[in-house]
Amino acid sequence: MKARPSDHREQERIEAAASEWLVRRGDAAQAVESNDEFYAWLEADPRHGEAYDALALVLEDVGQLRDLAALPDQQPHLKRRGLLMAAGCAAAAALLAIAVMGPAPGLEYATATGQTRAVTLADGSIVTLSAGSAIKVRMTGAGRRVELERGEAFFDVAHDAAHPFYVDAGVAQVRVLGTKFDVHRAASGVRVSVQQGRVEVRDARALTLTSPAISVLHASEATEVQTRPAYVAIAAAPLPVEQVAAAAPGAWREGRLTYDDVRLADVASDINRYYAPGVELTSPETADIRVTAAFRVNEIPAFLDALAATLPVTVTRNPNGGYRLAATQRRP
Amino acid sequence: VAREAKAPRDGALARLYEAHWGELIRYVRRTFGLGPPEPEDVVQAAFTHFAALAQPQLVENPRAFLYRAARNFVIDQRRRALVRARAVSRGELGDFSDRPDELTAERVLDGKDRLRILDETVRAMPQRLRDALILHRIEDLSYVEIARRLGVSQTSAKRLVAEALLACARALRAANRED
Repeated sequence: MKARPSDHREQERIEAAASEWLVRRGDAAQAVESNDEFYAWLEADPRHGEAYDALALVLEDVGQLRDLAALPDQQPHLKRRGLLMAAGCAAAAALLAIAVMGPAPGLEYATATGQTRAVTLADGSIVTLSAGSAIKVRMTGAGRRVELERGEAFFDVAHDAAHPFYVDAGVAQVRVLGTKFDVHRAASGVRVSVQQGRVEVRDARALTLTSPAISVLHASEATEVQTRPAYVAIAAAPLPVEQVAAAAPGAWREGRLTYDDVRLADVASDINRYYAPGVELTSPETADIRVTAAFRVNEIPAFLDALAATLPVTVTRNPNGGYRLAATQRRP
Repeated sequence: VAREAKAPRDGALARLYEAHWGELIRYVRRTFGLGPPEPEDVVQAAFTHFAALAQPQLVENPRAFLYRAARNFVIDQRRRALVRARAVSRGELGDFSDRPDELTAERVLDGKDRLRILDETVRAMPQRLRDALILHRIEDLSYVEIARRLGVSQTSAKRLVAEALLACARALRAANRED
C-alpha cells in the first residue's frame, strides 16, 4: 500500500479515536453505556481494531515500567522500598527500611502461640492474625502499609482507590487491588493466596522494577516467593500462579490447617505457632520430607502421633508434650 | 471452546501461554467486559486459533496475533448472535479471522527495546501526561481519583491518558521505522 499524505492523516485520526476508546473502555461505568457504539466502531474498518490493539499493547507494557511509580510525588514508597530490599540481606534491609521511614510510629499487633486475633484498622480493613504472628501498621496520606513481620495473616481490605494498600512480607511485596487474601511468611518463603478480588505480588528483591517477577492473583489463586535464591535475575520468570480451593485462603481462621505437598519444615513451623510444647525436626533430611495433610489446630498431638504411619519418620513424644521427628534411614 | 487444547503442544506454545495469558485476560476484560463470552474462553480461543495454524512460525508477532484473534473471536460471537436475531445472512460470516493479513510480516521490536523506548518516552513526556498515565496504569487509580489528584475534570483526565498513550505509540512507530 502506498502511503499518501491523506492516508497518514487518516491513520492519525483512527489512532486518536482508538486511544479515546481504549480510555473509555477502561472506565467500567462508561463502558456499558457505549457498548453498541464501540462495537460499531470496531466493525466499521479493520484498521480500527488494529489501532486499538496497538494502543492496548502500549498500555499493557507501560504497566511493566514499575520504576515510573516513583516519578509522581504521590507515590515514592514502592521504589524506595524495593531498592532497599534488594540492597542486602532481609534483616539488614528491614533495619534500613525502619530508618528511612523515620520515627513515624507504626501500630504493632502480635499474637502469642496458639492465639489468633482480629484487628480492625483505621480505614475499616480487618486483619486476622494467625497464632505466633506480628504486624506493623502505618497509615499515611499516600497509602496504607502493613508489614507482616512473622507468621500469617488474613486481610479483608476496605476499598479505597485513593490509598493503595501494601503488605510487605520480607521477600514478597503485595499490592492490593481488591479485597480478601492471606499472606503466610515462613523461613522458606512467602505464600500469598487470594479468596476474593485481586492482588499483585512481587519479589521485593527484584532490582529493576521492570522485572516481570510480578504476578497478579485472582480469587482462588496462590503464589509463593521463595527465600532462596537470595537474588532475582533481571529477566526472572513471572511468579508461578497455582489454583487453590476457594475456601483454602485463610482456612486457618476456622482452625483448619491444610498442606499440599509442602516441606515438613513448613508444617512444623506452623505447628510451633499453635502448639506451645512444640515440634522439633532432627535433621535437614527430616525437614525436606514432603507432606500433604489436613488437620485441625486442636488435633495437633493426634496428627503428630499418627505421622509415623504415613511418613518415613520416627515420632518421639517427651513428657511435657513436645515432639521430635526424625527421618527414618532408607536404603538408596 | 476446546479446553483440552490448553495443554500446550510444544515448548514454544507453552512459552506463549506463560508470557501472554495474563495480559490477554486483562485486555479482553477491559475491552469487552466479563462477557459472555467469558474472558478466559476468549483467550483460550485465541490460543487455540494460533495452535491450529499450519505454520505458526510464520507469525512475526505472536503477541499481536493473539490480541487480534481474541478481539476477532468476540466480534465474531457477537455478530453471530446479532445475525441470528436479524435473520439476515450476508454469507460473509465465515471464519473471518483467517484473513490473509494476519500473516503479513511486520517489523517487531524486541520486547526489551520496546520497554526501553516506552520508559524513555514516558519520562520525557510533559509532566501532566506522565502523571495521568502513571496514576492510571501503574497506580491503578480510577478516573475520579486521577481527576482529583491532578485537579482537572474526569474528561480531561481521560484525555491526558489518551494523549500519553498516543505519544507512546508514535515513539514506537518511529523506532520501528529506524530499524
